Amino acid sequence: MRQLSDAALVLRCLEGDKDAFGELVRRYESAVYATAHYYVGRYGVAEDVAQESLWAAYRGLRRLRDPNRLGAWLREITTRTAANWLRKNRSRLLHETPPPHRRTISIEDVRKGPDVLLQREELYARLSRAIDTLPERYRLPVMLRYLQELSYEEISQFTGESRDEIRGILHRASRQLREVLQDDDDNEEGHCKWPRVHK
Amino acid sequence: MASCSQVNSFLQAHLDGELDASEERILEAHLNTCAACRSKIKVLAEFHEELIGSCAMHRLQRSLCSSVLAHLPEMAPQLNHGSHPTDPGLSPARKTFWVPAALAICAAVVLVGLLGLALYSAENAAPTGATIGMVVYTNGPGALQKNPQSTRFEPARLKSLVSEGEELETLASTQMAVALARGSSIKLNEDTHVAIHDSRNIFVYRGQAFFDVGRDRRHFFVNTPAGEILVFGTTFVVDVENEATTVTVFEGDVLVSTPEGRSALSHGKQSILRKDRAPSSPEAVADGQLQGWMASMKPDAPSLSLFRQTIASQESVAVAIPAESVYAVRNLAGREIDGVMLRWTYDGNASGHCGYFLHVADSDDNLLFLDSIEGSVFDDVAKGELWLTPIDGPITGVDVIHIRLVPDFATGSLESTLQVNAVVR
Repeated sequence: MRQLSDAALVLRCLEGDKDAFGELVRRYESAVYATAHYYVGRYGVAEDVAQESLWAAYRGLRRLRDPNRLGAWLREITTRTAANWLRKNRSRLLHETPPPHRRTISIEDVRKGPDVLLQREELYARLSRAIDTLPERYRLPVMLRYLQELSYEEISQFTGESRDEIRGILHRASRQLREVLQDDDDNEEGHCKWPRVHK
Repeated sequence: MASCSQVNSFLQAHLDGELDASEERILEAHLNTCAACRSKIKVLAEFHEELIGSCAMHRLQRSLCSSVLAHLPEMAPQLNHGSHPTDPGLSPARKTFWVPAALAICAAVVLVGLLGLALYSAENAAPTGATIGMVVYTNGPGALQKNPQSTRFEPARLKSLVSEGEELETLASTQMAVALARGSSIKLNEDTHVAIHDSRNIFVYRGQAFFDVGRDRRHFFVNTPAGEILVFGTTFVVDVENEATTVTVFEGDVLVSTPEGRSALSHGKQSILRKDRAPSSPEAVADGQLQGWMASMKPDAPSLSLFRQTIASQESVAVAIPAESVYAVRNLAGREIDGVMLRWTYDGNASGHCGYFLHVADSDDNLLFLDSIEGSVFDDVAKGELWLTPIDGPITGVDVIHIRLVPDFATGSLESTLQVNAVVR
């Protein structure tokens, strides 16, 4: 099953083979989750939206035109599912404070103590704001790379851009992120700092 | 020895573990001699780790696989349409609709199953690209095909599947026709050799090939040792003999180019391409010459219908190219149109922006002129516009013109910060 191409797995799914769909979920869950996190992560529902998107993909598999572009198709479905969630919960989100992130604490972080944890959380909040300043086209590849540590190849399968384009995007995006985060440091004294590169 | 600015573009890919071995060696050699880059990469690595570390708590912590699969049975599986006809909520009128629909879907399932089996067996033998075509005509044992992993040609029979990357060859006194995804087909005359890179990109090594290219938003390329042929939905013949390629257009329009120049060909025109010179200027072909060897090749009906139900049904007919721009311009005063002006604002961040194909047509999609521009023009800080004019002089007597700007992804990528606009003059 692991050696089969996406297209072959899709055909097996269409014949009713659920294990084939399981293999597709394993291949793409990280990317689907990171995409969901990009849109609805701040409301703590990324996992639910990712799951919902995978179900929507299963229901709509028959409509997939090009099984070799499964990744890009899943990205569209995830974006749509997240947009639907935001639309449905719009009025609630406007009037309620967002629930805290559902987070997991690693043993390592517990050992390091609450300071490190707080610091990381603050860095993450700043990183999220910095990502929002990037050109639209850079944001998803950045999420896929840093949140789920996907390889360039995996990112390119999901966004539909070539591996070289992804390499260029991440090169430029990381430079911009550094600039934004370091300007941040300059403006807010007393915060945890990002390592500084002198050009 | 690489310079600092050269290895600069390697740094992020190095931290991501994505440099290939040769780039890694170049970077290593540079770092051994350059203290500035060594300290820079050290700080970059720290920054990189901080980024990854700050995301750690938000990472997906468990596989979604089991919870997704656990609820799959509740998610009306897409093929189980059999439950619809008995659905009590449907009106009688709807029921009559559903019975044939269900039958059609069952038939489709069987066919997809068959295709699936064929794909699996091919896959077990050797991994191949996507299936994009089917042999629909042969008239002898000399029709051969070879998949990219294999070293030898196998006989191609009716209904043989054709995948991306496959090569097709006909020996003496054998002809072959292949139906391709996206509404195109190729007929090969005797002693012809072609490679099917994908459903819109074909290489002709030698011999004569007749192309019937379906109208699709993706452009279609035919390459030969002598030059390139860019197609916008048409029928034409390519004849490759030693160094020269003769292109004859039956319908529609094509743009032929060699490293030395290009020329637009329309219905009934012919041009000869040679590698070291510009295409010969288009010459009219006698009507009789347009009835050729390909007329007698009638596709096998059962093969064609299997192709339509399997490969052709899997795809949409029209696929939009990302960021293709279409302009419709009304020529109110009915004046002469000298050409099209492309305008953009120079953007230093947009290096590597791709070139474009320009396709100008009237309201019935009849071609007025074709042209292409290279991506390098956008790198020139002094430029912000480019003036493109038809070879045959100004266009007259058109009320509406349609301009399509199609990105040429072979030459670069679309940088979202750079917008190219077309203006009619």
